Amino acid sequence: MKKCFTNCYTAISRIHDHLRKRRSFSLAVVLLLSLQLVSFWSVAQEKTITGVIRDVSGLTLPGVSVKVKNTQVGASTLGDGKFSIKLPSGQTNPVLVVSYVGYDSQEVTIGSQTNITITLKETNKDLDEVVVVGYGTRKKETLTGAIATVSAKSFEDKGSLPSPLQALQGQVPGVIITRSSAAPGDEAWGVKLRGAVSVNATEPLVVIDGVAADSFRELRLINPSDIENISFLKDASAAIYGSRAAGGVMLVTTKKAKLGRTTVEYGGSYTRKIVGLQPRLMSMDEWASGVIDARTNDGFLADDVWIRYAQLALQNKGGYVDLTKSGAPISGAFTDVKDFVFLDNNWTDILWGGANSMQHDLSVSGRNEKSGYRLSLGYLDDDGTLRYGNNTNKRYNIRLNNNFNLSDKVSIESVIAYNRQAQVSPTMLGNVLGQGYPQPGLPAEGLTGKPYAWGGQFTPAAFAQYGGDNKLKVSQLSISEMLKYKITQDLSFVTNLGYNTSYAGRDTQQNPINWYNYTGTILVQSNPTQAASYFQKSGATTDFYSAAAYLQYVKTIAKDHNLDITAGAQYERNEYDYSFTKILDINPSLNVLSGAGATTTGKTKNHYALGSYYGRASYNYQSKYLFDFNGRYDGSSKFLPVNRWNFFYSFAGAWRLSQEDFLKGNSFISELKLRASYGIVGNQAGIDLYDGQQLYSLASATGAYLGPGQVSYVSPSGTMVSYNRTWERLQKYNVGLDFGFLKNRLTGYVELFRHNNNNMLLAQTYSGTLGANAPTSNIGKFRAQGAEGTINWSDKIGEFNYHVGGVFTYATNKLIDFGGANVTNQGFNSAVQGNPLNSVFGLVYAGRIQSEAERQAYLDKFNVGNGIGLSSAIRVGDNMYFDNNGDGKLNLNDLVYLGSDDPKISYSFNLGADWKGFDFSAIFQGAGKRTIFRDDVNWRQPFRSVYLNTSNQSVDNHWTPTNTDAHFPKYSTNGTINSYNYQASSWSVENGAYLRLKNIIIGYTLPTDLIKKTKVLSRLRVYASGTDLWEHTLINDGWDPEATRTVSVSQRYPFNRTLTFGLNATF
Amino acid sequence: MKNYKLIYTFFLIGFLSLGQLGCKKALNLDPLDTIADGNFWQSANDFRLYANQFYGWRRDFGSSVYDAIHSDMRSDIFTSASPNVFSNGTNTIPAADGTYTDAFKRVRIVNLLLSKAQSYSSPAEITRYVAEAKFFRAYIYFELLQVYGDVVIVNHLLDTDAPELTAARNSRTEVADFIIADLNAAIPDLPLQSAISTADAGRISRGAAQSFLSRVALYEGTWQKFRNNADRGTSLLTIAANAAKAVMTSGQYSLFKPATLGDSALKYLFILEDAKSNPASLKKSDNTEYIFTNRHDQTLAPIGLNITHNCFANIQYVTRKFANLYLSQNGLPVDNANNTSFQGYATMTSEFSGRDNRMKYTLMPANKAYWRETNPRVTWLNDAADLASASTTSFQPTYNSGYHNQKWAAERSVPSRSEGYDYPIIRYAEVLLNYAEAVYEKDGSISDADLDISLNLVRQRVNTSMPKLSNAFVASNSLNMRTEIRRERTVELYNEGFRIDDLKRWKTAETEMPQDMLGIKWTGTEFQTKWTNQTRARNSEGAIIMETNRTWTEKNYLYPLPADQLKLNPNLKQNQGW
Repeated sequence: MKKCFTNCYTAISRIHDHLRKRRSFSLAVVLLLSLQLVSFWSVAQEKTITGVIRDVSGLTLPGVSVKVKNTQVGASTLGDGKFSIKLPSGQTNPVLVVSYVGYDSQEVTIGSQTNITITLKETNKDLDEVVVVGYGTRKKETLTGAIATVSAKSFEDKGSLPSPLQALQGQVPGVIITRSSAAPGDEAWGVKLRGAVSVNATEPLVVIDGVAADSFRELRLINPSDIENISFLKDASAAIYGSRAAGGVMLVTTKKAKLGRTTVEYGGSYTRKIVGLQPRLMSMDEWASGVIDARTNDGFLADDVWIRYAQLALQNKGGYVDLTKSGAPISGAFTDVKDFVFLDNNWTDILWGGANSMQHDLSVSGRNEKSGYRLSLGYLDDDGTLRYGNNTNKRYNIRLNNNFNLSDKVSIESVIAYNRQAQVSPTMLGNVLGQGYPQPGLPAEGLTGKPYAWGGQFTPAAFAQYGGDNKLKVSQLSISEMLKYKITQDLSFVTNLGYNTSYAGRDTQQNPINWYNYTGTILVQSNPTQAASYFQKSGATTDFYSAAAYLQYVKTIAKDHNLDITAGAQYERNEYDYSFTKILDINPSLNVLSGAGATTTGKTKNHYALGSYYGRASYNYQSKYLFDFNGRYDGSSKFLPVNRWNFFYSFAGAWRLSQEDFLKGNSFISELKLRASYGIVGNQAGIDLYDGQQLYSLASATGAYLGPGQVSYVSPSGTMVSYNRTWERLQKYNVGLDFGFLKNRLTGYVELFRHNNNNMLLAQTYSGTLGANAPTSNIGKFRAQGAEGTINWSDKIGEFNYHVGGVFTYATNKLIDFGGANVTNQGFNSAVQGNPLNSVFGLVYAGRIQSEAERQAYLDKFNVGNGIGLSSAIRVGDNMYFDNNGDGKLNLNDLVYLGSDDPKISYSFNLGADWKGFDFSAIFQGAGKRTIFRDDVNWRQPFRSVYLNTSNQSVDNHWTPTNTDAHFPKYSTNGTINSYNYQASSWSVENGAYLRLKNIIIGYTLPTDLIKKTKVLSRLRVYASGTDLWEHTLINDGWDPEATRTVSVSQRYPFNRTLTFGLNATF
Repeated sequence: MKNYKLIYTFFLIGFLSLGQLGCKKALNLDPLDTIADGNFWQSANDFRLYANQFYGWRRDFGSSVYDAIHSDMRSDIFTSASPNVFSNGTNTIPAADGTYTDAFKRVRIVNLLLSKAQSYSSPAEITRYVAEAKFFRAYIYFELLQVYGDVVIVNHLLDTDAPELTAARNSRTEVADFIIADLNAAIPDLPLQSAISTADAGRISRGAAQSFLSRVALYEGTWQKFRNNADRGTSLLTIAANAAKAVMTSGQYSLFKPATLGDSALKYLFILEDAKSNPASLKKSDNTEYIFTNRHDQTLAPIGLNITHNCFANIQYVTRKFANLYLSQNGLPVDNANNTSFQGYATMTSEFSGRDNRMKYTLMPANKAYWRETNPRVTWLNDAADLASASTTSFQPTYNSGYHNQKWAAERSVPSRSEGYDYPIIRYAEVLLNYAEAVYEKDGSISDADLDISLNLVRQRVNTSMPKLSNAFVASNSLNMRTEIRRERTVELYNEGFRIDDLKRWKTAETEMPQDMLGIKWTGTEFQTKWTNQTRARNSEGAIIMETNRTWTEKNYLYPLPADQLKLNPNLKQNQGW
């Protein structure tokens, strides 16, 4: 025995010497030494165990640690997954402990075996899920706050995703995601955690790998398939982010190497886009008969210009009349046109078509005990559905995530990502989408392919085709370096350095366009003219620096008392620099800043910094009673030193009833946790950059003509200096209940929340004698509240695994004190005291006038002195409204609250199953309690402008003596009548509720046996998926129920239905 | 020990990030694209740059030729296609009023300079800019006084809790004293006109401030005198006369009266440019009459308004009342019993015959040739080449009121809106007329000697043979000295933004303004045969009625305060009658 010990000692000292002499050594050396160690033992021992370690798919795993339990004896597997280990004597029932990063550890009783095969299972994250909570992580079971998480799974199989948010709509309780366009690169996804918190637009803070992003919009630059998980801090637990936590916090963590062996993964998908819901314009027949109908209703006779035009259109459908060769068919009218063209075109069909997009991802990762790496490349090529001009968005991503365990005590995590976006869109997109479309008949282009104009009407397509390109290139580099140093067993020191830099360069070129008659022989007009053509070059650089350090102390005292304390400090700084140069009168073939016209320039440059001290203290007793405190003391450069620093905090507690003796072992209840939290967080919205100092701007040589020319002058900003303004401080309350029943087959949670904003920043108007705009001050009051929850059932029947679930969010708000300003306008109101933000007010619809007697009675009662545009011009077939306040008058005092433009309800259902390699999942997503009053009058109101086409929703659905219960009133081209009928009322507003099949996926994973034969592949899955393939909506004007109320410019870009085919391969 | 180096590095960075917080600079950031208070007011040049913005507040063509508060468009001199509500007394209380709020914004801007000046280390360097600030504060307050009467005096930077925000208005007496005090403070620190370098051309001079003082004191002095406050009136009129006299004796200014232009001197004064803009090729440097101007230049600072197009027999419908104000060359009004040379109204040109020479160069007699910017003079000789280029060689005034304006219409070739003549905010002729009126109203009489150093210089500039106005002339022709002084002022300062303010201070608006606005005499004249599609009604005299049913009540002497300001500070109280 003694000899044995001596040998052992010698061996250890030799290893020690090696370690001291060789400052860096490879895994091979470790292996060699291990074997050496083993060989010493062999002197005294007899039994040798050999074996091989594989993963579930049968692949061998190298580098796996194999140890004999309760001894120092161990080995690692070699490249072929094999190991050999000599058992020390005296082991009566030896047990091998096999552990490997990313896999569940296993203990294997050897018994009498000498050659064994061990299969390691990949760690199932669900069982021991760790949640990122900001400056640290928590086990899910010890959470006290309202923190929702999504995993990488959410972003898989969804085809090309211009933003990760696209994959999450309706699927995270309390997270309300909206969109406003499908224009490539301009999708404008919006996200709110539990709705609005202030009249000052407040967005969630996004933190990517520990470094704050400039805005949640930066998410669009990230490759969704690089995301490991996202934590949503919805309640006061976000207080660890202090002054920026009002809108909630999203913590994005990107993927690190997980598996031990080197893994190459490829994911590729092709997506076909099909134009989804949008108003369909009237056809030639629909429009012409409608015009005749409307003009006749308005009392026009057969000699009316537009009736004659419509009849001419019907007679000449598909043809054209060239006025250079024939006389004017409608004498005395349309004197500025060169021809009449009557092609039965539908502008929605002409402008929009199918498009393709694709996404390719390739990653290489590997990990051993000393280091791990993951290198990923991503490429998105997304084409727009606009059929004219250039409209595409490309995204390139490179991300390298490394981690090094330099020693038992020191580790480094390093994230370096480069994201690039290249977007092209037509410069004159506003002319294509920003206006009404001409009546049917106009050609998409002239006979010779030239842009066509009919008098002052231009075919929209040519603006996209010939108006020039607007090119955006964004380059973003993000670096996050994190060092962890374990000072003692319980105490660690962590430093995180972050740097983001992005450059967004935009070249906008607007070319002159010459418009011709149909035969292309006469120049009708130039628009834009040569003089108005321009080239604009702009560049914006944003630099963000972050340095954070904190200490973490984790200790279990007397077995039951668990302490986890974090405290640290951080400095963050943002610098922004923008400038543009615009030059007029260009040569379209030159793609540089050059032109014969005037040059204008502009610039913006600013910065801000935030200094912070933050901390968290957690204590729990037996993981049964849990307490958390979060705090942050923020100082911002935006404020004067005297009111620069502010403290934000939260308290939270939870009680895990399921850990109590009276529920332990209960076969029905597997998990039951009651949670509550309260805290005060700050809002960074509504604050200017440089408070507390009078600011002046310098106008260069644009002032009065004094001396030799126009002088430069300095003038003070029109807003007064604020000396006492501070962050809005929100009180956030939350109670929640987590549950798991029937061995956690049924799980879920419900939460109730309330946000009070009692010092909301509002502008205040003083007597004009003040001579300046007063700064906003903390005088408003706002409250938001709601509920959210999720429930999931998952189980298996034999090899058939399935799950069903649902997610529900309800969030509403009320402007309690808006400084007394409560002027209510008819239609949309962004802020009215006593109501939710973005409220819609209107009259109450009282049905349609169905008889002359009814018309007369209505007019007798209300016509005199009405304030709603009622006149004796109204007819049978027009709307009536209620005198809601009963004062005998119809005026704006009869307006009622009709709802909010923000959807108050967001929900989804999901279901899925897998069986023998086949998998299926579907998500239905919807929103409710949204009231839309659409601004877009030209498309909403049939024949409001007789020369513009409108949505065909009213065809066969407008009032006629034989169709008296039609949705739309009697046709008219009379502005007074249309304005009266279509004013904001309970009839004219749209119900924005919808339910749609958000996503459906069918996939097949090829059998492992088959795949293994390729010797390269370890996993191969093919799938087909679709998004937005079906919906149920109550919209009457033809727009998608998710469309904005304004549907202006790019918001008119219709949403798509998509079909995706893809494959995932692991090598 | 590489690892340790690395750890130390990270520790260092970690502590640096902590350390930064302690360092004040880390969070004390100054703006980058705007100037912070701490980085400004460092030199006299900063004060100068700041004072430069004041010059953007001066009156310009837009504030007198076009419809604006002081414009003749709001007086009895002009009417136009649609009646002016301020002229016919039907204006209403506005919800908001930029005139009111902009004035106080400017007062704040001025007060900011004055407050910074108090702590500037070398006050001597900036006295000129402090004086400019005071001049402009007086300039703004005179505007407020004229428009609203009583207003809150703000003489320092206000904060949101300042009593001035809820205070009642200061009386117009206090306001006038405040203006006069500011001007008196500014005057000694402003340079003489002759001391202003070319680099400073256009900046305010001592003479300009004195001239302005005479205007303010005359305005308020007569306002008070005709509202039964003789003592106050006299003291202010004394200030006005003294201030005007100071300008007159300074030797800095003289009337524009080049022999080469003869009786057309005044016409070309108003369209004087450095490019050839008059037959004598005179330039702006030949003009020493303009005391304070809003300078323009075709390339450096064009007027930017379609000024010639607007003023050339177009939208300003001149009234018969104004045309009849011109004296005959014998120095007598057209309706004076002793006036035997007046030719009557029988033809389109008869009333122009033998009149004050200003009439034919300000209005547009018929049957003559006229030029404008798009149909310019070529040789300036009235020769064939000139006539070939003319807008008309035989002007027919048979539209609008029949009386047409040509003041402010360029004759040279210049792109529309690019005319470059200066706008006279104050010119010497006004100072001379201020003097005459102030002396007369102060004393109830004026000596021939005082008339000769003031009013008669103006009258005889282009009427060298017209009899001087004298006490004897007045007596022998049953004239009224006050009427003649006012007539001279109205005729000389026509279309420069004085008339309505004069009527208000004389308290004669209530009789002058409700009168019908008339055009030419149509019935029984050449007009009746040439202007056959004239459909307007005629009065008993046969003159066409341009506007009738006009009103003027006591309340119209002041503008109403805007409704929003009364709400924000109920103590302001609305002006009487509104």
